[in-house]
Amino acid sequence: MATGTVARTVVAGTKRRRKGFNYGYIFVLPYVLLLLFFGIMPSLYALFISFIDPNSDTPSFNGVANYVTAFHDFRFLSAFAHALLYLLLWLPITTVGVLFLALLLHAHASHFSTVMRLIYFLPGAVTGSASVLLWMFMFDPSVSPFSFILHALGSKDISDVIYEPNLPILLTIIAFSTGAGGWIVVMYGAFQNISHEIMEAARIDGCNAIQTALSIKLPLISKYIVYMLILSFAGGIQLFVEPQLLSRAVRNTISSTWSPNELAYEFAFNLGNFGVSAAISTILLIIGLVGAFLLIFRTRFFSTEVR
Amino acid sequence: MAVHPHSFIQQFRFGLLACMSLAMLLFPLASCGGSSSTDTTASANSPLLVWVDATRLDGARLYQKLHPNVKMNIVVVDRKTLGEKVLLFNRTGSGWPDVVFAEPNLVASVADKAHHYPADLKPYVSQDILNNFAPGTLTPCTIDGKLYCLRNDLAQEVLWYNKTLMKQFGYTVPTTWEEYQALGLRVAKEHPGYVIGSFGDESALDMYFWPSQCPVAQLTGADSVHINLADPKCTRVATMLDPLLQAGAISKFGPFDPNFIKLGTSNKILMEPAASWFGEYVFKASYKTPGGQLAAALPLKWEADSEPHGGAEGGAAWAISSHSKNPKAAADVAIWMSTSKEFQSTAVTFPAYLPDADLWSATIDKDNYYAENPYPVLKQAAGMIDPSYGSIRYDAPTAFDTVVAAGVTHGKTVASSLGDFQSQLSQLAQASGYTVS
Repeated sequence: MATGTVARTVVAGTKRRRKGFNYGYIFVLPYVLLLLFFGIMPSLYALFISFIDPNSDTPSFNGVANYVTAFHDFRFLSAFAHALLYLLLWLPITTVGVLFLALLLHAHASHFSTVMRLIYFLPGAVTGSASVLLWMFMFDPSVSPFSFILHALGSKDISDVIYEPNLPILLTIIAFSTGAGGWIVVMYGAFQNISHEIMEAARIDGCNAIQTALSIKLPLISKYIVYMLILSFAGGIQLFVEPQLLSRAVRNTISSTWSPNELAYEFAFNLGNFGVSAAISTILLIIGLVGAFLLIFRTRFFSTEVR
Repeated sequence: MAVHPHSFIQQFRFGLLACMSLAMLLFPLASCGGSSSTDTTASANSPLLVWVDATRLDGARLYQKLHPNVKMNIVVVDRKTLGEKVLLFNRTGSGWPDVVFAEPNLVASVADKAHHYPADLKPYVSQDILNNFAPGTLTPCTIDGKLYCLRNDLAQEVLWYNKTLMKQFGYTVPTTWEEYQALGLRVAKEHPGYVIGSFGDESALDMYFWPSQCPVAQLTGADSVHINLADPKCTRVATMLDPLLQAGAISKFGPFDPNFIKLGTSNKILMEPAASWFGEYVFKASYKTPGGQLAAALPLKWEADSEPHGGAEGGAAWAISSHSKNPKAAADVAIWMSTSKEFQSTAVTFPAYLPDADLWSATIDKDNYYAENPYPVLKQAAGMIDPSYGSIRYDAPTAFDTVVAAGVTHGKTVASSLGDFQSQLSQLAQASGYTVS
């Protein structure tokens, strides 16, 4: 009997065996199926056709020729440079901006902050191409409600604003306005998880608001910050809709292969070369995965021990 | 022997996992199986699938009315999606349109190995018919010796000018590009705000570079192209245009840009080298030039050249599918649409088939909109389209937009953009499988 008690105590400290069916599987099942059919299998298929000769009718192994063609294409390196430039601008601004606003909201929980949370979140309801269309009006000095700002900056026509060197800034504005709200809500939720005892203790020890924010709150939600970085990095490097639509607004004075995903699209649907397109897509996937793994393993993201 | 009773839930869970694994295995098989099968139910009697745009819909319906025993399925589509759609049909093995209305460049882009869409029309068309097309106009349709399309209409460049304003200001219509430049500089000094041309988008390639025979895309073989923007025939265009752009005599906005249309509606366009269809569809419809003022003059000549050359901006054609189950019937549709007097004499654009063009002239000025009937000029200009611009698979006009037009809009000169344009074009051509000389 004693051994049974000891065994039960030991078992309780590690994995708990449940009796009966775990309904969690049912909840996760739709997502897993969709991930399988629309995420994992297309990725594996792309990996497969990136090694196939695009010019032969029957599948024949082509080695890394598609990757070599992609790498040597005159637009490849500049497309990645563009995406990198955009990320270098957007990731810090998003991270700092989102955390700053979320901290402000959390500093004084009140009716006002609840309303502001909703207001921050609303632009996120306008997604993808709809948000780009909205911003095309904002960027056109002749119809924009902010035309006084554009005129003050010397822009008289939409082609003065939507000009290729300006793209990283324009895309950052669009991405921040639509994406920040959702993350602010997530970060605010993360802050809510911090136990009140820690906050009390900090206040008793004499921390002011800024010290509380930087030394207490941020480190405790570091996993959420990493999560935001992973998703933002992966999403940012795969940028497609925004530069495509913006180039239509100014009659193609912006290259239609500005971002790597646009280049992959060009290869697939204008040149009919799915092999090279799949190679570029696989490269993007690998970059996203490497970024994610680096962040996960450097920050021990999945560790469950309490710190 | 202790038997552990499996609960129903556990059996269900195992079954679910088994189903998921089976689905995973079967899915790729299902997706691979479809592509190799061919549509065996279609026979020689299946209806012809004809893709047109809204403007040509009535013409296609007219063909159906006059040929009631031909089964046709006429669909209005956006022909810019032709390339993607052809790739899709190649994978699924069916769905290609038997007859399609598309520009020669578009036909060229689906004639490559990856798309292999159009069929050679030569076996179906007599040489007599081919001879009656305006000279040089079938060249963009001829790729590697095969005739992949029949021209529907021409968009020959002429010099549209406002006769009333020219007389009012005391100017004479230029006949050479040098006179054009001199006139532009005078206009900038004496009547600032008035323009003699536009340069904001890819139309400028057809308006200025093509008539100069500048080697932007001269096909020297099925897979080889000559591009040389340092050629004097290119640099002379830049030298002519840069002072005019700087003085504001040529607008930095393209002819369809709202800012240029505003110039049109305030009647500040003195003249513009533009396509034949600009008269009805741009000057009358968009710029709203007052009646009785617009006239056309022949394309300008460079003093160094022995004769004037013209360009063209647009003009589409009829092509048939190489997968058609009924190629003769499809070819008949294409031939009728491009040559019949019933359709072409009432068409909205200048027919490429010359015997129909004279019949068409009766429609052009019936409302006396023009200062003088432009038809004689249009007819003569139809024979002046320089044939050196072939149909290429890559998108040269968009490269022009991105490099030259964008540069000019932001203060660069045309001359300084030519080098970048050259390298962009060469690389694009090579990426599309051409050798560049």
